[in-house]
Amino acid sequence: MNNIMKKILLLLVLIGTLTSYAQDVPFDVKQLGDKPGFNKAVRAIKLGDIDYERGSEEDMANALKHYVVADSFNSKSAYLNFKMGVCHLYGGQKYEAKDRLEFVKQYGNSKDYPDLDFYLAQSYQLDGQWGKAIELFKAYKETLADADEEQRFFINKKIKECRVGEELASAPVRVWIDNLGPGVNSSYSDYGPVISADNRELFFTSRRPNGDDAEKDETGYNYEDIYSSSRAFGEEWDEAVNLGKPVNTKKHDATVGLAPDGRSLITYHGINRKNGNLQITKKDDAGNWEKLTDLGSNINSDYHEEAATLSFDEKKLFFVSDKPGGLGGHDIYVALWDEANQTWGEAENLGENINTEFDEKGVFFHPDGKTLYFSSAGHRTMGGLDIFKSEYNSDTEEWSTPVNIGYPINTPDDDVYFVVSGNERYAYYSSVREDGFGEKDIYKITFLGEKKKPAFAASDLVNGSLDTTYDERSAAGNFDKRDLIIVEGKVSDKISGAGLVSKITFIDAITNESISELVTEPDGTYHILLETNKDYAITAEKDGFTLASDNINPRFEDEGNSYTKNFGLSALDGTVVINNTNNTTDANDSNNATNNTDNANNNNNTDSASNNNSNSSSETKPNSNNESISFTLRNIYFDFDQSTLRHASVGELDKLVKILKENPEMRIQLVGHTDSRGPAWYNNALSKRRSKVAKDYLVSKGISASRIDAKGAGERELEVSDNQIENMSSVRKKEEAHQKNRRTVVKIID
Amino acid sequence: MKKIFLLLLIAPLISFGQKEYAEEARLMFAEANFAYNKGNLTDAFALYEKCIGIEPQYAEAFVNMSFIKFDSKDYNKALDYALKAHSIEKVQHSIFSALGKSYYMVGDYDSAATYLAKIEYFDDLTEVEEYFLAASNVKLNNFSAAKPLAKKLYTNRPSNSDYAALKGNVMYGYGEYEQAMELYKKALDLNPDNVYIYSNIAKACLQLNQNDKALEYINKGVEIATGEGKVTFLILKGNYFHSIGELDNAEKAYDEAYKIDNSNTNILVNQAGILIDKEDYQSALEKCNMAIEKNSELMEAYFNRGIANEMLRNIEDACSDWEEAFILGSEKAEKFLNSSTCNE
Repeated sequence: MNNIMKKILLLLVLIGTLTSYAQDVPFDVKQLGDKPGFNKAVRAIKLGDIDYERGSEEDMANALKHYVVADSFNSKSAYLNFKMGVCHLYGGQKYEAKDRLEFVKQYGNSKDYPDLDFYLAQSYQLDGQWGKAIELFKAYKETLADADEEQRFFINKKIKECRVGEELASAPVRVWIDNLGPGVNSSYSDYGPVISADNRELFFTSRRPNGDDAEKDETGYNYEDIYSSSRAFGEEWDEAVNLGKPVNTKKHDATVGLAPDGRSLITYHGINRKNGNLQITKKDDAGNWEKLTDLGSNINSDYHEEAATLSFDEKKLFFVSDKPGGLGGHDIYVALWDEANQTWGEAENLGENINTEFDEKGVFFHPDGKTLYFSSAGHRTMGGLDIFKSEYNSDTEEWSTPVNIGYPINTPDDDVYFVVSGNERYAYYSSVREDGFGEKDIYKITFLGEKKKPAFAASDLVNGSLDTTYDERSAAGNFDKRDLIIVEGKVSDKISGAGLVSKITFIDAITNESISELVTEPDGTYHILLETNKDYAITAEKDGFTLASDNINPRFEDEGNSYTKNFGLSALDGTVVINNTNNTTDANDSNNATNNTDNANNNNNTDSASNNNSNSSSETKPNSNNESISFTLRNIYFDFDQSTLRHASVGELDKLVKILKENPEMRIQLVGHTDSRGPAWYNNALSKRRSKVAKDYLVSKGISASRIDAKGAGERELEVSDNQIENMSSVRKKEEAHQKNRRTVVKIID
Repeated sequence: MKKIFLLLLIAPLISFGQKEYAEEARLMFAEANFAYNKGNLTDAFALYEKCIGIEPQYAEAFVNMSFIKFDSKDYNKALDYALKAHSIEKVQHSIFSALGKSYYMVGDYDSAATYLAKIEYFDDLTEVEEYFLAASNVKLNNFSAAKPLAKKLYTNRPSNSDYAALKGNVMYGYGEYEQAMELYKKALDLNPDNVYIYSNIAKACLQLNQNDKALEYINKGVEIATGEGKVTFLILKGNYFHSIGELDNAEKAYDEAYKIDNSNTNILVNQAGILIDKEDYQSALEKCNMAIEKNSELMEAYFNRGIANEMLRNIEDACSDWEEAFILGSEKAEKFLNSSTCNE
């Protein structure tokens, strides 16, 4: 055979293969009758058709089993693919439907399958191909008779679902959805998860066989049983175990609800899935489940009750029922616990904010006491039952409009039995998803919240090239002074806290030598550098005001430390400074910067004669406080255990003399205080002697004795208590505290 | 003769000082000072070293050694010597000055501002010290503290480009972007070689929503600047593109910056940020690891690594990272720590 002929033959074979590959191959005895297995396949189809015609979910599943046998013989039959596609849609493995129905669409005769678009549209909806689904639903609607209102209504609903699906899928909720794994899920239907609020106990329903000869119900499926699993903090769920008796029986036993503490379990118990009652069991202290008790006639009816949830305080019970009087299908009801009669009160329908003409199922009431999660085939669903959330407003006594909790939690298929952990980080539900182990599985949802924005290192404002900045300086010479400390603080009005321009003197407390004298800033602040290894007596003074004094005794090891010494003065005329308008601020500083003072001029002026020792434009007001004016002098020194004035004390007393001379009508009380060392009677006497000595000094300087009342308070009014001193960490600190107690308080009594 | 001369020279210095240094050390110190003032810094440094060999606690010598290293642009060493001086004498003008400036140049603006401000305990600051202090406060976003100094510097020397730019920075900090722009432009007019000003102008343009102009200035800066300056502009460019959602362009800019300076942890942090936005969490994690390895106190790196870890399902590690970020000052990390993510 020459080359051309070979090529022609090859082409013909190729065309033949392609055409034979892509076409409807009916189960026709003429085409396939001579092949082995044909009869078996045809028989399987017939058996399948019988189940198919019955139409229930279980029948569809059974039909599918037969069709699979036929499909293994011939997978190219449009008829068989159509039947299998529909079975998938209404039975298990719904996601398998699309390919089968697309095959029919492409290769089958459309007249033979008038409902094909309807089913294919649903498979597209399941697959998230919203646009295609809507197109086919619309096309199918055109084929309906005008009188077919019910079907039209249903198609319109499906179109609406697709639109909702499109909207929700375009803005997915940030979640992780994880199958709980083979330890919990099985190849059978596993659903109805309920969890304790602490996310440690899980109960769910499974249709897996329990034991080797598990009984089956009238549909041929295993009876429902309740299983449990638990987990430790941070760990995965343990292998699920059957709860056994008395919770599980030979009939249907399904999880319905769980109290937040995990100790009360509500179950559904019945001979079939449509005719059963809600019951409750509690865990005793030994961890065993008690016998089930019926929830009572206000809850259970002759109709179908499924799903129930307790409030955190177990005083409210929400449950689902399809009893008459609702809004349509299954509805959600609430009943309150009647403490007096120890039973549930009459149930009330939650009303049309929550319930719709379609089914509402799978209810869960969050431990927060106001949020209700439930599944609904009404509201804005993207297909089947979707999970919604509504909050109860106790003021208006209304439920908020339910909100779809979003994709991908909700899918175009049924999404039911949604429960949320106490901290709302996790939720569990059952769903049919492609990664499942078979039929429904239980999934854990982790809510990730809003996308977290990462931090970026900003590029700062750039300053000039400081590295080229040359400070024309000469080498640093030897330091003038060494071993310095920083002392800073503020002189202010004792009552208002307004800063006072004042003079501060620093005296060597041993030699009485003047070390430094300065005038504070306009706002009353000051700072100074002092050498260590000296004892300083510090006095703050201002014309027309009381004195304030303190002392500081820095040692060598204190070098480099900063000390804050603040002083409060009181005006002798009884007024209070409320605003020191000498505090200048930059008038252009209108923004809310952190520090609004513009102290470009540091002015620690040591010229004591300067005119800064006055608040020249201060505002004052009368002092409404009726307490008499007093101030404390801390630098009146006596030799230890003596009442002899030390030379260094005269400076402070001289300042007091000046005040008294400038205010000739003033009368004062001098009260001496000691520290607490030594017996109380002794300290009392010592303090009296010392205040008398101080008085004598004042008198020696020309102050009338009648103007001075000298008293002793001993150790009765310690500034630092013995307890506080006891708890101090060093001897030095303790000594400083004792020194603080040794003082003279001057009280202006007139 | 030389020694007698030196002795006469240093006599007033010696008589003032209270510390009893060994005479040999004092003479050496005086000689070193002489060399320093003559501009013979190498000789001066060697003499100071000898001085310290005799008298290890000669704080003044350490201060001058710090000054020399500073002038040689060896800022880490300058800081070392300043710290050494400070360990001996904690309160001295020249030591505060040396510390403040050195801290600034190594990027520790907080310490720089702290020490420079302390100079006021002694005297008024010199012009240069004022500039450093103002610049430190700008870096710390403490514009109210920077303002009076910047105003004073610019008023006294209006023809100084850096002072004009500094005042512009203060205006920027106050939100007065138009005024800032005016000052930046003036600064550039005074000295067109001050490339850094393009960066500040670009930032002001962004604040004024003049995005195109901003990009123009940024690109100009990228074109002209070199080394660290160029890196600054590239980071700015990356940040700009990120702010307008152009992640790929932002990534390119950061990558270019990284090629110039692969030790810059800010670049690594920002690269990680882009990778997080692109949901490439593993790569983001690796970038953060690199950043933290170079700087274990980089708050943004821990913060971002926390996000990457969370999305990679390493929740415990994520919470640990946010804890570290919180300790380093991140308020957002605190919110994450208190969320249900870290509190099962």
